[in-house]
Amino acid sequence: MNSDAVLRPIIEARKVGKRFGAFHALKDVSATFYEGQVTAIVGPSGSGKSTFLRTLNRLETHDSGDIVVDGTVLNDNLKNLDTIRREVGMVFQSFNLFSHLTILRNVALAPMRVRKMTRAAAEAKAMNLLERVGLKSQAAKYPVQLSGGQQQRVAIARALAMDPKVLLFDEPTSALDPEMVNEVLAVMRELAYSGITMLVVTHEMGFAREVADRIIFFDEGVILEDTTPESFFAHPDHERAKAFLSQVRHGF
Amino acid sequence: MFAAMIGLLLFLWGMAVPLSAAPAPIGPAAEQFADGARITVGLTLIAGVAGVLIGVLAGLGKLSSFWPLRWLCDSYVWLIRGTPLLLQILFVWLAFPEIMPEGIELSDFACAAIALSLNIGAYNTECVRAGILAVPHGQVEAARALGLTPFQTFMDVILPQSMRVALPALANNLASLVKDSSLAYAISVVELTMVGYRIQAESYQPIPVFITIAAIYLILTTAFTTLTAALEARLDVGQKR
Repeated sequence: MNSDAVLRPIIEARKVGKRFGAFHALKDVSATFYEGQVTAIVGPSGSGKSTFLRTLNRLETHDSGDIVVDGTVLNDNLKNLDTIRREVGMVFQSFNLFSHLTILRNVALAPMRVRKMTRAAAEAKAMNLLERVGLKSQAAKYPVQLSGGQQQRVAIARALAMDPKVLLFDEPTSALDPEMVNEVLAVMRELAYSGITMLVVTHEMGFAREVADRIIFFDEGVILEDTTPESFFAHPDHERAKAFLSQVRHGF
Repeated sequence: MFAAMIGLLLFLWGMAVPLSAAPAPIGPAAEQFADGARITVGLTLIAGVAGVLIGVLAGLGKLSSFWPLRWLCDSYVWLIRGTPLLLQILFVWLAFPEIMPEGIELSDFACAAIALSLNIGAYNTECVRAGILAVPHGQVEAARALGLTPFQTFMDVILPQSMRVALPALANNLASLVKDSSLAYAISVVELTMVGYRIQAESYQPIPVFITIAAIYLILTTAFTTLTAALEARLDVGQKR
C-alpha cells in the first residue's frame, strides 16, 4: 500500500468536529480513505471511533469540517445524501435486520426500492449473496429465528446487495457470543480480499492485525496514530496506544 | 380474514330469511332489522377505515418536528377526546350546513360517518403514535443507511412494524365503534338501535325486540374482532415468543 499515486481517494474527512452537548466527541478529525483499502479503527470506548464512522454516511451530522464521499459533498442536501448512502453500505453492532421481513426480503428490499430492480431480479441477487455468506438455506426464515452470527452475516449480505463502493462496519462482532465471532470474521476476511473498501470499527485486534492495511487509533476525539498494522502493534508511538494495547493484547 | 369478511356479508344479506320465520314482533319486521344492520355495518366500515387513515396521519403529525403540525394534531386529539361523541354528531349535523358552501348538502348518514370517523381517528392517533414509538431506532437507521427515502422507510419498515404494536388497541377502538354508531340514531339515521326502538314502540314488546338487537350487535362485534384477530396473526411474523 505504498503506491499512493495510483490509489484513488474515496472518502475524505477534513477537520470534522462533533459535539454532544458539552461532550466534544470529535476534534478536527482529518483522514483520507483510498479505494480498496481495509482500515481498522480502534481505540477505547467513548474515544469517538463509532461517532466518526457514523458521520461518514450522516447517521450523525457533523458540526464542522467537510466530508467528501466519492466526489460528493456530505451536507444538508438530501440528493447528495441519497447518492452517498447508495454507495456506502453499513453493518451495525446490533445487526438491525428488519424483523418483520424474511431473510430474503431483508436483502432484496433496498435493491427493489432504491435501485428499482424487479422483485424477481432482486431476489435472485439476494439468493446469490446469501449463498456467498453461507445462508441460502435460511432465506425463508425471519431474523429472530437465526443466531446472532447468522443475523450479522445476513446484514453483510444486505449491505452488499446495493453494490456499495465502501462498507462501514460499526463493531460488527461486539454483540456476538464468542463462538459466533469467527463465522462473521471469516465473511469479512473474504470480503477484504475481494478488494472492496472497508472501514471497520473493531475490538478484534487479531482481525485488525491480519486483515487491515491500515490502523487508525482514536483517543478522546482525535486520531492519535494512523499507521500500518505492523508498526502499530510492534511499536506504537503514543503512551495511550501502548496502554490500550497492553489492555487488549491477551489472546493473540 | 377473508372467511370472516365473507361470513359478515352473508350474515348481512341473509339474516332477513331466518328472522322472518320468527314469531311476531320479530318476524314481520325482519327486513327492517336487516336494513338497520346494514346501516350499522356501513357506518362502522367507513368510519373504521377513515379512522385508521386519520390515526396514521395524525399519529405521524404528533411526532413531527414541525411544531405547528404537532400543535394541530395535539389540539385535534384534545378536542375530540374531551367532548361527548353525541355532541360531535349533533355538531356535524347542525353546524356543518351553516359552514359548508351553498349547494353542498350532506345526508344524515354522511354526517354520522364524518363525526364517527373524526372521533375514532382521535383515539387511533394515540395508538398509532405508541406503535411508531415502539419501533427500535436501529430499524430506521438501517433503512436510511441502505438509501431508502424517508417515505420508503416509513411505508416499508416503520408502518408495518408499528402496526404489530398498534393493532390490538386499534381493534379495541373498532369494537367500540360498532356500538358507538348507535348514537347516529339522534340525527335520524335508521341504524340498528333506531330500528329496535321503532319496532318495540309499534309492538309494545321491548323484551324480544331488544334481545334480538343485542344478539345482532354481538354477532357483528364478533365478526369484526375475528377480522382484526386474523389481521393480527398475519402481521405477527418474526416475533419473539
